[in-house]
Amino acid sequence: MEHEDLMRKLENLETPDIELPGHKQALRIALLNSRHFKQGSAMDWAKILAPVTVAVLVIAVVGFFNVVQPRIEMAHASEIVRNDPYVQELLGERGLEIADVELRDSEAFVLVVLKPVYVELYGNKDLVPAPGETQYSACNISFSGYIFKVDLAAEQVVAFGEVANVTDLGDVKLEDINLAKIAPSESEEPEGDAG
Amino acid sequence: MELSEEKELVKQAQKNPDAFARLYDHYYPKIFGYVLRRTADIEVAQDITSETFFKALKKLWQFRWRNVPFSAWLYKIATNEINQYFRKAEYKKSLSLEEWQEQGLELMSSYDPESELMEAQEKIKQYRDFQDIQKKLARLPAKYQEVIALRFFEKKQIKEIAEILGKKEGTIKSLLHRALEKLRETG
Repeated sequence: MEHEDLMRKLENLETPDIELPGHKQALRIALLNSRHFKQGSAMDWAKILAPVTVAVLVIAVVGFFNVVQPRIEMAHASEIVRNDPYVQELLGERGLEIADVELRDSEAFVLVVLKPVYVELYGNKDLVPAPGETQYSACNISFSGYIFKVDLAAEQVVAFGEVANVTDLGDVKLEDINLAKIAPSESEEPEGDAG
Repeated sequence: MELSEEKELVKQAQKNPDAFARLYDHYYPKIFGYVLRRTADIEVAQDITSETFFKALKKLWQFRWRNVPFSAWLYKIATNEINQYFRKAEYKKSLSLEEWQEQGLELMSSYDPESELMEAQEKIKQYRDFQDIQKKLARLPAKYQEVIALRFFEKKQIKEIAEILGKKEGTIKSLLHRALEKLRETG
């Protein structure tokens, strides 16, 4: 058969055009009931929930760094102050308590003032002995507490200063207060070579 | 169906079963017909058509609109399935195909696949000239079968064949020429 004859034969060839309506319908039902569209609806929910989840996580992270973490650090600073032997003496024997804590970078400032009962008994602004004194005297009548500076990384009280008529750290400019450095105790000095 | 309408429908069909159903209703006869004319076997044509639509549904999200009709993509999937059928002694149904058979049959009590199959087999026997040509064609390599079937059985233009097979129009023309020569040699 010649090339042209074959082409003519193919072009005029009657080809089967058979339909299977039952198969078509059954396949249609199976496709539309397939897992694909059920998975699709699950994906839609995932798309809706994803930004909500991200927003909740952002709020949680921001909340942690702005609210929770500062509170943890403030509590930690209070604990360091409470555990300091010198401060322990003040707190226990001289009727003082931690009134306020403020964070600045890696440091904390802890305000220690008269307990309310002392204020009631002796007036608002006197009768708290200075460090080293055991008696209330006229020389400290303007005194109402201490500010302790805490190095959070080193976990120790590094300086302190006296304050008068202060119950809140918001009332004072920390830069204006002369803080005396506390020398580390002998046991905390770095050890030298044994030999 | 207009290309712009089809584009929108394909986009919707990724999520919307009704949109997919519209595409299916439109293209099922063409794809089933193409597969049947390639294989000349009703049962195999059913399986391959089913597999083609399941694969299309599964990969619909990968379909990128390049101003080529959706049908070209479907024909391409079907062509790959047909070639797979010719490569293997027996066409293996995928799990999804077996699953759909169970689901589909359960959902459609009025469907009698046996009688529909027998009826169709009787019909295809009447196309003797076609069957002669198809038997000769089946002996040729797949690349020649494809172009002849698409050009003469499906009445596709060279441009459309090029879109379906992902080849240049010039390549299709030379493939078609060689395919006719090979078919003529078979007697």
